[in-house]
Amino acid sequence: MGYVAVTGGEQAIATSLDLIERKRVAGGLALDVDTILSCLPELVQQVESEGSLWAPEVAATAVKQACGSVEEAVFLMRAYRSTLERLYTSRVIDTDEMRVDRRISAAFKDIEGGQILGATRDYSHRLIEFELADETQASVRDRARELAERLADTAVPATPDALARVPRVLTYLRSIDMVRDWPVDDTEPVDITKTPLSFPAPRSVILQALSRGLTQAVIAIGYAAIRGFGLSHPTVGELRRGSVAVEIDAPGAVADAPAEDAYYLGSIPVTEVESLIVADEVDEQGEHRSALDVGYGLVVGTDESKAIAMSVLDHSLRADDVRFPTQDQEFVLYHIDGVEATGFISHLKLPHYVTFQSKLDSALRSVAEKGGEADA
Amino acid sequence: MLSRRARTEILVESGPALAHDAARAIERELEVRVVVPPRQGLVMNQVRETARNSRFYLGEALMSECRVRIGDVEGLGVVLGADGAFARSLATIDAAYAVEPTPRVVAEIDRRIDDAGRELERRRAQEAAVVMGSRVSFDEMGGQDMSVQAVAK
Repeated sequence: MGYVAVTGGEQAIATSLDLIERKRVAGGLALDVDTILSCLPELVQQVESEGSLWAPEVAATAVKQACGSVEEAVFLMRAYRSTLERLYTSRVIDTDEMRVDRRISAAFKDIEGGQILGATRDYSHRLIEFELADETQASVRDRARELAERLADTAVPATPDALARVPRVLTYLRSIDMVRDWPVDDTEPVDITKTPLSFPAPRSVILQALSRGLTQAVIAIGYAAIRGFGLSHPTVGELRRGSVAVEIDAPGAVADAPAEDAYYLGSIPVTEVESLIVADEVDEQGEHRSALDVGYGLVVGTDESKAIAMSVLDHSLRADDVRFPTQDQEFVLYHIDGVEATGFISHLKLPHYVTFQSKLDSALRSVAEKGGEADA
Repeated sequence: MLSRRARTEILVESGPALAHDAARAIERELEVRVVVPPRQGLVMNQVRETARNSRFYLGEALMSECRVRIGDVEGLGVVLGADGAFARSLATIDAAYAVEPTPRVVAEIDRRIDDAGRELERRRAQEAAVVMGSRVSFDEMGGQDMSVQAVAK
């Protein structure tokens, strides 16, 4: 059985494209990219995270072109990315240097540096504010002024670097030997945009795939791992959100070139989670003891649920134990990529005339044969 | 004089106007040739994770790059986003700082960058102060000490 090329339908396709574009402009309103960036930053960040490309203006344009479809916008971002040359690889980003705007711990009440709630909806009522339907640009500006005054009243004098290099909860747990202190591992990471997945996957592949995974898939599978289809039940040791600097070494610089000679390109927003999971650890003497294992999550943007779920899956995939699908690297990593998953599901809409005819012929023959036997 | 890391951070975080002004001042005094015209590309961000201390690729970011020459000295301008003009100005400043002996115009630019650095620090302190307003002050309710320090003891 082979594929049969057919022609035709060009006019229908052209009209179809006009119809989808007509839907985009039917309302007679134009949404400018700055408005999308300003009003829908979390949507833009989701597209950047799953598109694996930090480019806010491009992502906002993709959101606009896709009429708000995240699936389509991510596809556009991945396609755009493939047209650009990779000019540099950054210096290794050390998240200790993150300039945080939020950091909390679910493991300890009092942590050095304090629990800083930052901007969060965790304590909001989750009731729809219907008055937003009538919001105007003037009322938005008034609200911004009002909030600036209120926040100035609650501000606490701080130094410029008060929220840079905030101490970590993990540091304390390592100091009491409850979390193993791993030596620096400078193994060159594998890049899944250049190397096809193979199993067992190296750690760098697992983390890259989870970080750019389909947000809802990462959250759903992470939830399953906690709920009973896996063995990971974490406590969020620390969740921190903020921005990290992107730096490159001067072209031709030696390895380990001094940081002061690097170029600063800007910063990107990230959310990082260190989850703590009680584990049985075997020390060098072969003795078993209870310790805390760490699941790691880091995503571009501010999606805390995705970062937490990533930390759960980082831990469960280390087991690579296929008794639970959430611990099966092939099950998780092959299916959480948005473009892979939506691309395959979407292709089912395309003509399968020949393969379906073959299935239908076979089914009809089977029915006919059974009918003949019954008659006999 | 500021290190390149500190200088480029101030220039990038201050926005393109400062870099354009500085580049114009340099071009009035020195001949600047474009070696690689402004172009867009990608930078792959690699991160060290804190669970196992290993490295992985977080994803790419859109960036702009430009290279210029002043005499025999090359300057590189790199910035996140799609702003070729910004990258060109950054490259011009980078080259001017590398010229020896240091041109007079660089001293004046260094002073402006220093001023911008102070303004950047003021903005960062102001933002940190606002965020620190959301730091939790727990009321003591007695019972077990739940601090990290108590566990460590």
